[in-house]
This record gives sequence, C-alpha cells and structure tokens, in this order.
Amino acid sequence: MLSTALLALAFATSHGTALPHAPAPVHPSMVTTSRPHPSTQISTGTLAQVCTNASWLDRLFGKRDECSLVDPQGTSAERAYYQACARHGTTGLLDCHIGYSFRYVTVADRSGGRVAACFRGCAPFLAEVQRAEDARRSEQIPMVFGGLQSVGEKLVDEIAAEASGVELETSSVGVSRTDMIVRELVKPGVIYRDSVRARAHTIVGNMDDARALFDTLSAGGKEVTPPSFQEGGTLVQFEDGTQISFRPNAGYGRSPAVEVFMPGYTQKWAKFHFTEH
Amino acid sequence: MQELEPLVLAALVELDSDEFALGWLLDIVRDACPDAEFDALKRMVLGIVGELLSRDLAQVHLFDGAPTAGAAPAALDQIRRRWDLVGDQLGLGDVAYLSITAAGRAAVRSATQP
Repeated sequence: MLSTALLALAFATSHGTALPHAPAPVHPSMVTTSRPHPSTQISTGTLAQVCTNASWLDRLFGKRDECSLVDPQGTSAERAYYQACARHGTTGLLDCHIGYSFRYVTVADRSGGRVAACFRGCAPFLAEVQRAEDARRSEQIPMVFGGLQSVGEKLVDEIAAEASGVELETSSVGVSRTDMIVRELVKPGVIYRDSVRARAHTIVGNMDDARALFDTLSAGGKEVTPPSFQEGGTLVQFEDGTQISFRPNAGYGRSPAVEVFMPGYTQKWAKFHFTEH
Repeated sequence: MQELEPLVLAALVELDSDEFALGWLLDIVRDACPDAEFDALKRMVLGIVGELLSRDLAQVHLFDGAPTAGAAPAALDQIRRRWDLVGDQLGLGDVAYLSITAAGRAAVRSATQP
C-alpha cells in the first residue's frame, strides 16, 4: 500500500516547483494511483532531447510556456517530496531556449551511475499529473507525506524516475487528446531537423514513420477525407474538432507529411514533413 | 493595410515546397497581420488567391470535387461561397487547396535568387 501511494505521490508531484530553502510543512494528505508503474530511469540526455523537441513545438504552436498549463505554485507535499529527493541527489534546472524549463533531480543508482528525473515539464508530463489527479479522486487512499522524509535512496530513485513522466507509452487514463498529441511530438526518439521553413517542420524518418505517427495521433477519430483531398491523403477528425491528416505524397511527392489542427489549443496548423536525410 | 505582394510571394514560396489548403494561407496572413479582424484577413486571403490565379502562379483544387472554374474571378467566387459556409475556422479539408504552377516556380526562383 505504501509503495503504491508513494508512486502516486510521485505522479502527483510531477508538476512541482522550486525546492525551498527552508523545511516545508508536512501535512497528511490523500493520494493514490490507479495501478503501479515500472520504474523508469532516464538520462539527462533524454531530458535534453525532450526539451529540445518541446522547444520546437513551442515555436511551431506559438506557445510561450507550456508549463503554464501545470499548477506552478506547488503544494507543501511537493516541497516535502523535493526535500526528500534533494537529500540523495542534486537538483537543477534545465532551461530550453524558448520558454521551457524542466526541473530535475539527479540521484545515484546502485551501480554508481547517475539518473535524472524531470519534475516540471510541459505537456508530455501533464498526462502523469492528470493520471494522478484522476486516481486521487477515484480511489482516495490516505497517506502521510511525512513518511517520505525517511525513504531510502533506492526508493527516491524509483520515485524520481516515476515522477519523470517520460514513460510515455503506458498512460491509459486521463490524457486529453491535446496532451497525447503533444506528448507524441516531443517524446524522445522524435528528431527534428532544422529547416529554413518557418511554418513547417521536418522530422527525421521515412514513410513508415510518418504513417506510424499518423496512426497514433488519429486513433479513435473518424475519417472525413474529402472527395478531392490531396493525392493519397487521409483526413481524420475527432468530436472536439481536432484534425489529423496524412499525405504520403506531400511536397509534390518528395516527403510525406502529417498535419495537425487543434482548434482551441492553437489556431495554427502544424505541419510535419518526414525526411530520411 | 498590409500590401498583398509580399504575402503573395510568401505564399508562393510555401507553395513551392508543398501544396497547402486555404487555412494554411489564412495562417500566413494572420501571422503577418496579427491584429487584423477576421473579415480583413479573409479579404486578404482571397486577394492573394486572386493574384496567384490571375497570374497563373497557382492552381486551386476544390475539396468537394467540383471542377474549378477556369477564369480567376469565377474560381475566386467558388472559393468565397464555400468559405462563407465554413466560417472563420478553416480545417485541413475545408474549401480548397492550392498547388504551384510552372510559372509559379519560375517566379519563386526569380524572386529568391540573388
């Protein structure tokens, strides 16, 4: 039970704020989780890649700070959590060049290596926050946060990794479509290539990669491809108005493209061309 | 009032890389004129399309499959009528898309080469 609750705490604190200098008050609270998750260790390099991708999207969607979508104030429970983590590692702030900041903690693992976990990110991590909040509402398992102060290094490591939200493939509840789309677009493994074009972006990948992204983003939507859509293209729409298109012959046959339109999130369209070079 | 010619060239440069739907052009114009009202943006978009068609720099393809009128004013009227039905949020499959012509490519080369 405690382990489950601690994991839930990790999720709940994934949108935390700065580590305070003074000890934070510790209050009983209610946390829970819907199911346990395997621990995930991530490297600062992985974080950096997520961060880089997020900055691409930032530019693309014209968003200044996705973190504004997350409660920036933090809670006493979060502060207590950071304090516990800080006793076993170091914290830092990974700044992106366009508006994003990822607060992270590094801790030593058993092999003497270092792992890093992100505590405050942007849209990719909203899913974890949402999951924790949903679970908290539905299960209401009590837990005293003060217990966290005494956890050992290994547990802190696990919590830190869980809190990272970088385990992007396993979320199953409470993830909005916008969150899911943005998570897919910023996750590690998606490599953006610089482009002279300001309005469209290039992802390193081939036709299969483009198709895979489209399939992921459009899952559950309804195909609404108009009679004379671009050659070979497919258009899918969701009830909330979100549209995803796949055009295998985009760029006049040079590069497949996936386009995204999320009314309400951004008025702009986002276009992603795929290139193997 | 924003001059159309720079926007015509911007649209043409985009078209040289990839065909785009009308909403993409609306984004281009909106970026150039962030404070403009929607009606003004719409007029500019239609003005740009009119320029592209009348100078044979681009072709229009109506998404509903209807044949596009040959003359620029008539094609523009087709677009305007369809757009009126959609409103101010153009989706990826709304109204029409544009593609560049050989003359359009030549115009891009001419405008972008030093």
